[in-house]
Amino acid sequence: MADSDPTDRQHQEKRGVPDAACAALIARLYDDLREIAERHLRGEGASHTLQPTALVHEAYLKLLQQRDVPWDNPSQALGLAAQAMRRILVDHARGRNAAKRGGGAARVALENIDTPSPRGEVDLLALEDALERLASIDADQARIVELRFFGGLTCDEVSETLGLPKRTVDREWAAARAWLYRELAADGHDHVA
Amino acid sequence: MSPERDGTDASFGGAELARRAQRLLVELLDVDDADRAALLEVRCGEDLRLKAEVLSLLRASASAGGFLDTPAIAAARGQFAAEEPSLLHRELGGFRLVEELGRGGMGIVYRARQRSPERDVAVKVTSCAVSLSARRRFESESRALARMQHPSIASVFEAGIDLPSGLAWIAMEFVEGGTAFTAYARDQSLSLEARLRLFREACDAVHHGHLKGVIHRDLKPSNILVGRDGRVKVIDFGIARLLGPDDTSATVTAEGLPIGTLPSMSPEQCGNEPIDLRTDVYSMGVVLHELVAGAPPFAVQGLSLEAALRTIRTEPAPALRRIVPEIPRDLETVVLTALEKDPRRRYQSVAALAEDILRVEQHRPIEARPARWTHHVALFARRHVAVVAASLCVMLVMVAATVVSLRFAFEAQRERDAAIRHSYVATIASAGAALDAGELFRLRQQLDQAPESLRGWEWRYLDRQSRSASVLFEPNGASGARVTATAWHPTRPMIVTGDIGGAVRFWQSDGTEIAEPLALGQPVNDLAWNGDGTLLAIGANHQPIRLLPCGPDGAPGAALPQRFDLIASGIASIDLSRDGSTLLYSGERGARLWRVADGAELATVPFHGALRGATFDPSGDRFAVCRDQEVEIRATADGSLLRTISASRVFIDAIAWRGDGAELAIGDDTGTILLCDPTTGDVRGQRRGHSRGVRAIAYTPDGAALLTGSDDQRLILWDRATLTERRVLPGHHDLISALAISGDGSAAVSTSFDGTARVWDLTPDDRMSRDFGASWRPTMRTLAHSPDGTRLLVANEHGHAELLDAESWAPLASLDTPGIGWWQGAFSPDGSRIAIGHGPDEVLVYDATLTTLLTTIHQGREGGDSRSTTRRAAAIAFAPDGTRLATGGGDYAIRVWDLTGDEPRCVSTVRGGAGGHGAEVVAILFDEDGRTIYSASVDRSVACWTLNDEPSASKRWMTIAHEDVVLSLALHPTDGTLVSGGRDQRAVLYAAATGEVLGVLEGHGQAISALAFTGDSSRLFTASLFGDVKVWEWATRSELLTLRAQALGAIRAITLRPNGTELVAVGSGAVTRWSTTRLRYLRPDTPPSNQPWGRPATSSASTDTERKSGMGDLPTQ
Repeated sequence: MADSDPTDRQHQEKRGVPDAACAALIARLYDDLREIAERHLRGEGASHTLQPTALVHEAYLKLLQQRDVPWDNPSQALGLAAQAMRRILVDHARGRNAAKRGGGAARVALENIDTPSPRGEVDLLALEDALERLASIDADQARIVELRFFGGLTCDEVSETLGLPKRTVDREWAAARAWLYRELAADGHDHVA
Repeated sequence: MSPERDGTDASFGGAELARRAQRLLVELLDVDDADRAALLEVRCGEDLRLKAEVLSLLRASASAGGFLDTPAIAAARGQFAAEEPSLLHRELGGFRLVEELGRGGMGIVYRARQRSPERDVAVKVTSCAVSLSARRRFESESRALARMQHPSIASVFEAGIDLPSGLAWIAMEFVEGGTAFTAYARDQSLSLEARLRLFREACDAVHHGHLKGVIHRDLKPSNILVGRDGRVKVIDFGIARLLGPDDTSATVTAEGLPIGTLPSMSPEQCGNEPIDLRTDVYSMGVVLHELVAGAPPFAVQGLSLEAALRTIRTEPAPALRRIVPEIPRDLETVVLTALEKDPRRRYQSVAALAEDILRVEQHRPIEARPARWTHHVALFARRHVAVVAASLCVMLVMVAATVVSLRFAFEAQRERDAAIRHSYVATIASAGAALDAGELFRLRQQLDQAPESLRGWEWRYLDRQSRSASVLFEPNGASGARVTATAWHPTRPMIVTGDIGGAVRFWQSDGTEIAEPLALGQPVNDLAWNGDGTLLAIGANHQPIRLLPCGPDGAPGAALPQRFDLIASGIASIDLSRDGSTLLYSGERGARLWRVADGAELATVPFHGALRGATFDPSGDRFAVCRDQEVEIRATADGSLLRTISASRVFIDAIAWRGDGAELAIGDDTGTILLCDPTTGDVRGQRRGHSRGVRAIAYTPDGAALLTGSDDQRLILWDRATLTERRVLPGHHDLISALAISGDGSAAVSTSFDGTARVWDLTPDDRMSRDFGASWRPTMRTLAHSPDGTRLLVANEHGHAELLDAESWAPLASLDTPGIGWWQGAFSPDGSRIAIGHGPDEVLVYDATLTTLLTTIHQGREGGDSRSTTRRAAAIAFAPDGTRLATGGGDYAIRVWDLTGDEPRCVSTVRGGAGGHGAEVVAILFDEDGRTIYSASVDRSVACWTLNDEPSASKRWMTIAHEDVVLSLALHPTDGTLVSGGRDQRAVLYAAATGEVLGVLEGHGQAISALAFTGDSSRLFTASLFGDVKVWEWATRSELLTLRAQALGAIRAITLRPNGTELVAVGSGAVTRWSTTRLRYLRPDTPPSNQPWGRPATSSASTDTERKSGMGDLPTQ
């Protein structure tokens, strides 16, 4: 179904920069972007005001400054920035969890920055797993979650970035959220406030 | 698990079902509740699985309101932001914040009151707690800022980090009533000349910063103030980098809109390219443009950020004369040159820009563009209006013009050279700053930029520093696999590493991979070799512990069959006893011990959670276990508990035994290191050096040093006896996961989550500084290399002298006359004799090995002045042919001794007092001719004497140019310049022939106690009583680099090894060297594998000695 979805192909083209190039670009900027993410995690973003999109905008600026990337459309960079931030936040959580020393269980408890939602425990790693599964079911929905949750973009911005009508974005977001919610709840991560 | 979840199975059917369910869900969410049930029935028909799946999703949807609505990053940010404290009326350092002056992108500026001295200062405080990496940079760079001293730069008084809040602050000179540069010029309706003069004043300040290795990075009119006195003050010098996390975010707000900085940003800043001092050249060009034309060159206000960045990077700067037609054409050229997009086409320094401005003012041809001769004539005519008017002969003007033209051509060439030299000086200064900040990459960049023809000793020194660590390997692929474990082969220069992706790789220490990697597919958490390197144990999560027999060359063989009954999802550590007979595991649910031979389990240490590490003592009879906050010492035989060490209140992750088993080093989660007695459990010493938890720790084989690696990304090499930092090894940019020291202690390997393993040469650091211990603490003032550079003579004023091997610093011979000082020593030019001033009035002449006393000179026998109680020889010099020796002493006299006879004979004397020196003679030098000597004295004078065949030497000249005691003297090898250094913090240059003062080197800021020239005479070293050495380029008298050795205390003497490879300095109780030689480990031409080292299997005599002598009182903090 999704494979033959014409809108999907359409923005594959629209994205312009091939996936491999994206991955390479993110890899190259990984350190910069991670620095940005960590700073924001500590509350040291460039802005004094609480501005969720600041993170991805900063990452976006970094990406835009890459001379050798032919940006057809700046919103590609916005999408990429969100993607990068997702990877960084998840890596961050994973590093604390799975790294070394007996799973480092105590360490996670000491540094509680893996629980970003005010509603309590969103396990980023479980979410990441679920999101990957979602991507195999519906790539667009996964991308919307990436932009909204990891990128902090509004539905309007998501709609612009993906070139989808806002109404579609709203609907797909609701569906994606329901699916993820169920997955995480079933995994025993009860996040209901 | 609910049946609906079948839908997410990886099987095709499951995935297909999930897809259909998800599409249907979207459809259903779009319709009213009422229609949903009906639509669901229609769509699903008989497909009950689809229906169940969608129903489950609809239920989830109903309760998922708000889920994931808050972006991942925002909540955490929110929590922090809410805690932002108010700082007004608080005290930071000695400064009480009394008024908020303003807020900017980087923080808040307060007016603050300092108590002593009482004055107003400006204190800039970051708006958020600084990150760890930023904190380190903050510390090193704030020191660099404090080094800038210029009347036109707002001084940085102090900087610090407020511990409770984690906020960084900087106290700066408060510029009262300052007006922005351009606004001042406008308000005062300054003439163009006045504007240019002010501009040059600002350039002078910026250039000063560059020479100190600081780039401003944020030059704009509002950062160049004009005070009430009409003087320029450049503010916020280097602050952008200090407080801003990086270039972009420091200047761009969250909303993506530029603040005031953008118009002055250089193309490279907009493009996120490397920044150097030419960035400031560009920004000064923008300021100049605005100063002359009233507006910056690019109108970027109102553009989108993207468009603005593009404009600055690509649009050519507008021609100034189109806006202000009346300005000179040359000024336009100057502005356009400063504003070149390509830094290489700009002025190469702000000084060069200022010089061209001066040329514009003086109507001389500028550097920026090859001037045609007609242009020169026009300028010449303007400067010499009267001459031209009076002259009737046009030819004369033409001839004059030709001459002028040629002269300008030479001058232009010379000035171009000068500009390149300026840029070299600045490049070295930034390289030095990069080294101070531990940014090896930036250091490397700067070094590569330096023109080859100008590179000298300091370049080679920095080059060597930049290579103090080699990256063994880089991230594998885009994922940047974190490196998690390492071990150094006990007898070979060979390393094994393991990463989070499950790769185990085998390396020679120069980075060559020597065997096929193993791919285990699970994070490798620890690696351990037995004592002779024949057996390697590998611990990876979820996998049995592997044992690999290794060949004599260290190459791994096939894994032995699995013997140990353990599969752990979390391995903390594994270890092999030195004899390879026992295997020790720690991690999930405790620790376990097996016999390697048959896999029999010897003991179990149960634990409810995960143990954090365990390691055998060198004998293998005991092992230590990290059990949360405690360390347990247990017997290998049965696992019984011998001792519990409760030294820390936080988790312990890292432990290591000293080679003799008599001490245990512990690193805890606060970054503290504890040294414990494993038998009694007593803590012998502790110190906190890391700002975050210590992950790995190891002793050097001799037990004299410790290496620690931490989550704070740093490695620290500690002196075990004093628990002081010998050196911080910078370079990793993520937490350190593991480290290991080579069997001979000359190198170490560290692994990090940054995806790299790095090999460090510990040799130079091990020996870089040698502390001679408490008995040497009293001033050491004697230091000399033998002429062939193989030996080094050191002595102190309390009766100890030593001859050392210049390479290893191993003692070759020593002399001891407790309580009676050794004052000054010198090798004879052929290296066969050593003369050394001793006691109140003797000079002893020894053979080259310092074992046979050849002659004793009794100072008191001849000449001199009896006013002084001591005749000690504080200055000694051999004549170039070695037949005579000059001594200068406490009785103000200089004596020259003939050493050719049986007894030394005084052949010439300069008496103290009238006509001679009026106080102790502290330095003597022979000229090459052997007939001229130079001397310096406490009475501030420097003098030159001619030795005739008469009992009294005749005075050629005596000059008093210092304002305080002269401490040191050096003669330039070729150009006939004599240099003296004094307590007045100056070095004075004299014409050796006449004593005329040629110049003064200022800027040391400390008493100059020692001087030395390089063999090629291109560099001068000046050492201070403050413990630093400055390197000067002799040709331009420019300061290039500062070498610091605060640990040394006051430096009393320096000597450059005759082959030029290292500078050695001696201070209070220690000797330090700065070397330019490349590292053994990283040099491909000497493969270390050819020199396997042995190491005694049990504790050796030397470690025992170390234990006795080195076990003094340890500092406790």
